[in-house]
This record gives sequence, C-alpha cells and structure tokens, in this order.
Amino acid sequence: MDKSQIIINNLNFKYNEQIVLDNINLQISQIDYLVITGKNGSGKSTLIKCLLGLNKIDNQIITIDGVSINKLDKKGIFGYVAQESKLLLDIPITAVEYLKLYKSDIKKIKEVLKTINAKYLENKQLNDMSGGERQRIFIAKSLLNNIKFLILDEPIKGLDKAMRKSFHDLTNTLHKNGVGIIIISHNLEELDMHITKVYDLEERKLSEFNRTNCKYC
Amino acid sequence: MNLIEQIANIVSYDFMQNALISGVFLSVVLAVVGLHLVTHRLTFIADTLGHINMGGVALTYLLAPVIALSLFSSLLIIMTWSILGGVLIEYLRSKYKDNKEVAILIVYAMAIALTMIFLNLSTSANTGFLNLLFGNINAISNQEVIVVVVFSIVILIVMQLINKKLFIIAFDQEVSELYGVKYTFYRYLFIILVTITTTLAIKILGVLLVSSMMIIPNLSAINLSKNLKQTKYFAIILTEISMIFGIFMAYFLNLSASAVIVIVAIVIYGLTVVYKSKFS
Repeated sequence: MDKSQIIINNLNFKYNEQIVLDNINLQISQIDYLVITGKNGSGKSTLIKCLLGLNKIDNQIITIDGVSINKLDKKGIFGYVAQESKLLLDIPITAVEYLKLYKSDIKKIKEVLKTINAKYLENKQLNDMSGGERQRIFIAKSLLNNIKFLILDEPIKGLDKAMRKSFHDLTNTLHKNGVGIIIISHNLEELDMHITKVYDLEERKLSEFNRTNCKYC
Repeated sequence: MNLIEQIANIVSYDFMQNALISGVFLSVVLAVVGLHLVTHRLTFIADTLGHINMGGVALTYLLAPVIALSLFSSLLIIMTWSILGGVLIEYLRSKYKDNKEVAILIVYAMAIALTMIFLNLSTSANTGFLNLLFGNINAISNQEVIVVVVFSIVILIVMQLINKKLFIIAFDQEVSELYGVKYTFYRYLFIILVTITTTLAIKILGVLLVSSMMIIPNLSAINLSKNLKQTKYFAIILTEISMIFGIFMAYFLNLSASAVIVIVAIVIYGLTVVYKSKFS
C-alpha cells in the first residue's frame, strides 16, 4: 500500500491579530517518526490544530496525498493523544466503556487492546491507572480507526523511566506497522533513537535540526 | 392506623399522586442530565439556570394582566426566557479563555436584577413567589403532571441519542471534531436540555435547590460505583429514593418537600463518603 504524505505549504496563522505561525513548510510521510520541539507558547499546539483541521486555513495549505485537509474525514487519518493534564475524568469509567464511546464495535476494541498489550486493562477504571497505562488507552482510542498518523502531545511528560521505555516500545511497534508518528515535545533528551526527523519551532518559524549535529536523527 | 395504611391513605390524595408521578419521572431526568453536568464541570451553571427560571416566572406575573396565559403558554415563556439565559452564559463562557466563571456571574446578576424589576412592575398577585423559591408539591395540577411526563420522556430520548457525544465533548473538548462531534452544537443542545429540566423541576424542588438534586445523587453514585454503567443506575436509584422518601417524610413531618428531599440526598451522600473511605 502506498504511504501517505502530508504537505504543509506556506502555512501562516494568526490568533487575535498576532502571528503564531509564520511561513511553515513541512513534508511528513507515513514512514516518518518525527518530533516537533520548541518552547512553551512557540506555536506547537497551533500547528497541530492546523494539521488536525481544527483551525481554519485555506484549502491548499495543508494537503494529504494531494487532497486538501479541509475536505478529508480526519477520523480515518489522524489519531491524537492530548497532554495528560488536559483530560477531565471525574467519573468512574473502565477502559472498555471509554473506548465504546468512540467505537461501539467491541470486537475491534478487544483486538486493539490485545495489539498494544493492554488487554489486562479492559475492566480497570481509568482513574485507577498509572499515567503510562492511561496513555496506552488513549493510544488505543486512536487505533480504533485505521489511522495513518498518530500525533502525541508531550507524551513522556510525567512518565518514569520504565513507563517511557514501554511507551517507546509501543510507538516503535506502531511505526513498524506503518503508522507515521508525530511527537510534540520540549524534552528531546528523553526521547528514543528511532526518530527519523526533528524539527524545532522557534519564534513562529520551523527549522529542521541539522543532521550532522542531531544525535537523534 | 399502621404505617402502610397511612401511606395508602396519603397516596389516595390527588396532589400526592401528582407529586409522586412528577417526582418519579423527574428523578430519572435529573440523574441522567446531572451526570453530564458533573463530567462537563457545569455544576454552578445548573444553579444559575434555576435562578434564571425565576425571572421567567416573574415575567409571566408581569404579563398576566395584559394577556391571558394558559399553563402551556406560561411554560413556553419561562422556558424561552431560561433558554436565552442558558445560551447567553455559554456564549459568554466561550469568549473567556481562562476565567470562564465570570460569565455565570454576569448572567446570574442580570437574571436576579430583572426578576426584581419584573416583580416591582407586576400588578398581579404573586404570592406564589415563595413557592417558586422552595417548591411546592401541593400545587402540581393534573395538566402539569402531563407536561412533566411528556417533557421527561422527550428529554430522556434526546439524552440517549446524544449520550456518547456529550461524553466525547467533555473528554476531548478541544479535538472533539476529530471524532466527528461538533463541540458547539452539542454543548448548546445540552445547555438547553439542562434548562428545560430545571424549568420542569422547580415546581417540586424550587429555584434554590433544583441544581443540587442533579448533582448530589450523582456524586453519591460516583462514590459507590466501579464503572460508568453502575454510576448511571445508582444515580437514578438514589435520586428516586431521595425524591419519594423525601415527599413522604415531608408530609408526615409537615415540612417543605424540597428541603427534605435534598436533606435525604445529602445524608445518602454522607453515607457513600463513609462507604468509600472504608471499602475502597
């Protein structure tokens, strides 16, 4: 199967008349394991929202395989795992109940949980899980649709060494199985070695890390 | 007369039948809507919506001498007024990025101020106003029971249809559209359903206590439950117990029903806190 390609072509984005993203150009392939780094407030989240089609942009700015992002059903393309701190979970809800909100096909849910070695979590409450376990369930949520790219926002924040290893094993497996990985992180030190590209978003502009100096590439 | 005979005797009264039928139907709606209020962290909005209803009722007092108002047209005025208030809160909330609570204060203040002005201007008798604050189960007419039952069924059907979507917009507020769920549409729809629920329930629970019965039994249910399904059923059961037990106790003790209903709910909540700290 052909690998999908995202092309971002001269993306400018303003929020309240302030330029947040300035002339961003980027190509992401499904074979990439890519990291976008940058300080807080550098526009990383805005870039992701543009990519997910949640910020309004002109038709030809972001395309996937030549088709405008605005015209695509994003559900079958992107999986997104938000920062842990942004999740509101005030009620007791098990992993299966949670996943059923997004897809009622219980067979598919069990299949995905098995794939990511999280079958033991199916009847556990999300509130009783460790950060790493919960993250696994959020990744499972993305995998319920046959996505092409998985976007993770600050995925290793708050994870201990063992949980980070488990996270890297999982994303590497998904990457090998053909899912393009896009990680947003300001902590490059704790990311693993399978990364194919690293971009830095600074002062509203995106630049690729120099390969000769980049120990991650 | 033993207790069972006494209860049978009380239930034979029309007003008690009306209160119980309304209470039983409303309990399910209060529990189901309330669970989403908790997940959306909207508990204070529910309280404000109760107060906005009061302005709608005051408006009917003001209009009463000018136009003939049936039960249904009065209800329509109160609901429209309250829905406008609810929608205004949500709109103002969307304008504030962080301190969203100020939207509640603005609409709350406006609702109370307008209520007072409507009452000042009203020439019709508004002795029922105290009942509005605390509820009055003696005053539910046969027509009102029908309205409560019909609206309760409609709200429950709509809630069932949008149940998953409401959870998704609570859990994935910023990216719900990625899952094909339009945040703004479902959020406004939910606020409208909460408002209608509040309007239906103030006759029994009163403006001041209506929101508490959407929230407290759900908090008790959360303390007892291990999953979402249990939470939903426990919330319905506990709201029903508080409502029915409260209505009977209020009659025996000659107290205000809304107050007794809420006290029962709070006692149950206290017991669930003890249960949770001992057994989980």
